[in-house]
Amino acid sequence: MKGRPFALIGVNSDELGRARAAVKENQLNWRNFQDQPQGSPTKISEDWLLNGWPTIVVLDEAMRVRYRGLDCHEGTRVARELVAAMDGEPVGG
Amino acid sequence: MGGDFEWVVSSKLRLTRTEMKKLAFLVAILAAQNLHAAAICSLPFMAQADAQDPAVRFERLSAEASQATLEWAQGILELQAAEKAGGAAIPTSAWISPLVDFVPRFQDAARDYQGRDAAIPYLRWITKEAMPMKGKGREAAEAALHELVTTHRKSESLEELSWMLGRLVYFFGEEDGAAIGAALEADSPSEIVRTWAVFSRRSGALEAAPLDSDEFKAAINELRTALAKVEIPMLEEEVENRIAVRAKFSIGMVAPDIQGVDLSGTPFALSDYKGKVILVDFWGDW
Repeated sequence: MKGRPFALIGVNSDELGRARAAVKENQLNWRNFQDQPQGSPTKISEDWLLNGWPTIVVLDEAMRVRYRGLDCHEGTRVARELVAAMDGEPVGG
Repeated sequence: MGGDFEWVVSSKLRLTRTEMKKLAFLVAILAAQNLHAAAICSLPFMAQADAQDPAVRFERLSAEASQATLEWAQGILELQAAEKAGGAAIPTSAWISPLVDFVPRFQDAARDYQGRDAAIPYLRWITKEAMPMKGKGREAAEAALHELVTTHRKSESLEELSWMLGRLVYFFGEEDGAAIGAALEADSPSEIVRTWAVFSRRSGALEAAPLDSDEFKAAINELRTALAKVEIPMLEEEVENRIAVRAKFSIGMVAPDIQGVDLSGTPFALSDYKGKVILVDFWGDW
């Protein structure tokens, strides 16, 4: 998806040291928030009314929710279709 | 006889004086150790009996695993205290749970009792403890869960799997997850297990079907009807939460912005990426 209108953002539930270690160990090269970012009074998972972990949420270019659930394959499929549509490719192609 | 004489212990056992002295010495040693000679004699047989008893084997193995976890947790606390006091950062390897090394041992035991009820505690342990792991640990947990919900689907002890039973599609994919759920609904003697299986079948509709669709309404009705017959507070809360979430945070609604710093301390906002498709992954190193 490099060079295409797509961004992957993580929200991590762990203590900061463990989260950083996991990012390093798994060589995650996308940006990650902590569930409760420093200085924030609330957790992102609470603001986003999360049902459980892990969860995938896919947003379109206007930040509207287009997928929300546990199935990473379905989430990825929805994201790919949205990116393809933005790039003018046929949907599902 | 060479001056020695025999002690007739029984018709088949005759001991010389020297042999009797040796026996008396051995009995004295055993008495000093508070061990009864009969107990000593039966130890090899007891060990053999224990080794054949799956419950005893499970108790021993899980106690060993618990002890290792306790020592590991204590070590982490000490490392954290040292780090806070200005010492070295905790190495990544220190976070690896000792339970990783126990998974193959529980797998070996589960294989020894494969297909029998005796395998269930071992499979449950693997499912519970290895599910948060990565790589082979996670694979082992999913394989153990699969064996539980297929081979042992008629066991009432599956009730303890609770939330995992509600995520069969997540673990085993659309087709297999649906087939396993249908078999549980048909065969499980447990109302609790069957209700979780209904949730697994209906959770997709609960999550994604349009709010005003017949599919969404039917999912709610079926779940509420199933939950009225059985007490599963965790599931009841989850279903009602999901219904409430759909009303507030549903497909097509605009997501709240996230603002703050990333894990490396750099400020950024989710809305910086507006204009792109964004996949937000809520994850953890469980």
